Amino acid sequence: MSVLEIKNLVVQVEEQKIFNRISFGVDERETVLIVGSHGYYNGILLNTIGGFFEPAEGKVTFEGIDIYSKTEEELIALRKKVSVVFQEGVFLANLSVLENLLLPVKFYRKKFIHSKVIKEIKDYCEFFEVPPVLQKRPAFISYTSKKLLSFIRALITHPEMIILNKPLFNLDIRNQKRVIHVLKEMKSQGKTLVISSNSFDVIKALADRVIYLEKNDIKKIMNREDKDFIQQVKQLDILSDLIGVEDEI
Amino acid sequence: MKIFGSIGLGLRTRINNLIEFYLFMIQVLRKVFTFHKQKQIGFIVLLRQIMFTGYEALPLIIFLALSIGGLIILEGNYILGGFGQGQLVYVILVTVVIRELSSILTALIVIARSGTAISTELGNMTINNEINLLRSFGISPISYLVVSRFIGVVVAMFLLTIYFNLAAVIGGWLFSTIFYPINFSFFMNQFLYHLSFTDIIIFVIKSIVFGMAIALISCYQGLKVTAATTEVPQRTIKAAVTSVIAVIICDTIITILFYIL
Repeated sequence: MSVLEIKNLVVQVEEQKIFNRISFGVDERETVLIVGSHGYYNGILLNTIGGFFEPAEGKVTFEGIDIYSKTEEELIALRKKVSVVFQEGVFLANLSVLENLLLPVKFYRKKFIHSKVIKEIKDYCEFFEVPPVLQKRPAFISYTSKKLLSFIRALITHPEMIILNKPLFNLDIRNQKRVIHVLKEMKSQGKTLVISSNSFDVIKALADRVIYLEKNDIKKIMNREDKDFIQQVKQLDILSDLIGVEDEI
Repeated sequence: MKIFGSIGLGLRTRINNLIEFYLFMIQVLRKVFTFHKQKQIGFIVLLRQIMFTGYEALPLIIFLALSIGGLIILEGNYILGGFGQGQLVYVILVTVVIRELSSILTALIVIARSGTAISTELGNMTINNEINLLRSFGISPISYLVVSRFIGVVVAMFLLTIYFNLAAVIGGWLFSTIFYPINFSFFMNQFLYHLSFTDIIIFVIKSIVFGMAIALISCYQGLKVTAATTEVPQRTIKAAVTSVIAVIICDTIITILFYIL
């Protein structure tokens, strides 16, 4: 059963209608990769799935609930299950990095063991080799650190589903491998992953299904069960890395 | 016909904006009563707002109030003393400073410092995707950002108006002692004799209503920013101008109502 379902989606940006009534579903424990010729459309699609961009037509349902028919309060229970990681690693500028990381955890769990969460954060920071910036303001940290820390923020909430926009973008090879490693672990734990990425490494390591967006329409859907899945993927001329780190993952 | 068309469109936009603001106001006021449920994350924002709006504006408020209070007593003594009506300066101090100027001048300072800051901050947060980030956590931007700022500005505005009044009275006494030596307890007795409970109620109501208007308008305009950084200063100017107009309208209505009732 699809945990996330997109039905006849049309999004309007200013006067322009985007997406030609596209439909697809994401099953529980499935990893779906959205690859596209234009990051612009992928970004809008993820923002719509994430509940930030109300569609002009069609529906986005999560566990059967139309997310745009509910108020923010009614969506809190759903939000706790889904973490969204933005491409650019967004932080609240007037909080320290640590306060930013703790914000969703504090909100979700009225009683939480502070030291346990801090340990989890420190372990992830060590794993990703994030410099000691937890007490700093987000303005002082690098783009790469922001990206990794926003990923860590999503991980410590232990979501059932994670939505990621270009998780490897702007990361060095070492951290790309680490991110893929963590995502593989999440996948093995039965989490649902929705990822927008044109990286062959990510597709090869994780994808159960690839949805190929050509401009504003779904051009092709490829399944891991397909005999020639990897060959089909390789034929896409929009991949960012055909010869990459996949053999080492 | 085109002129009528554009007038009609302009009118429709204004009405829509008013309806939108009204709904925003209702949403904020409703969430004020459930703020305690989210105090764990919103409390720090509230404290920071009170600190910025209230505490950091204090020196300016006190400076202004000391001067205004002093000058009113000085001018009042000079003019009314000539007619043998020196007692009336206390009436003027109460009517002009306590009832009117304290809340109006405090509101203008709060608009200039905090209203513009709130509008700019929320506008930039929208541009930087921070509002969507909060929504992704399931944290309502209204509860986390607006309600805490709303309560912060209202509390700070109320406290600042009290400080303004105290400083204005002390300023009045200080200035009067320079030219006409007067005992502080005598000055205070005279002042309190002319100060009625209604005067206190009026400045309390005004300070709370002005605080609410400034906070609501500034937050609303800040959150109206959509995509471009150039919108931020435009919205900030709009927030300041609309707040000033709203404060003056509210002041007039409250004053008239008190004279009627």
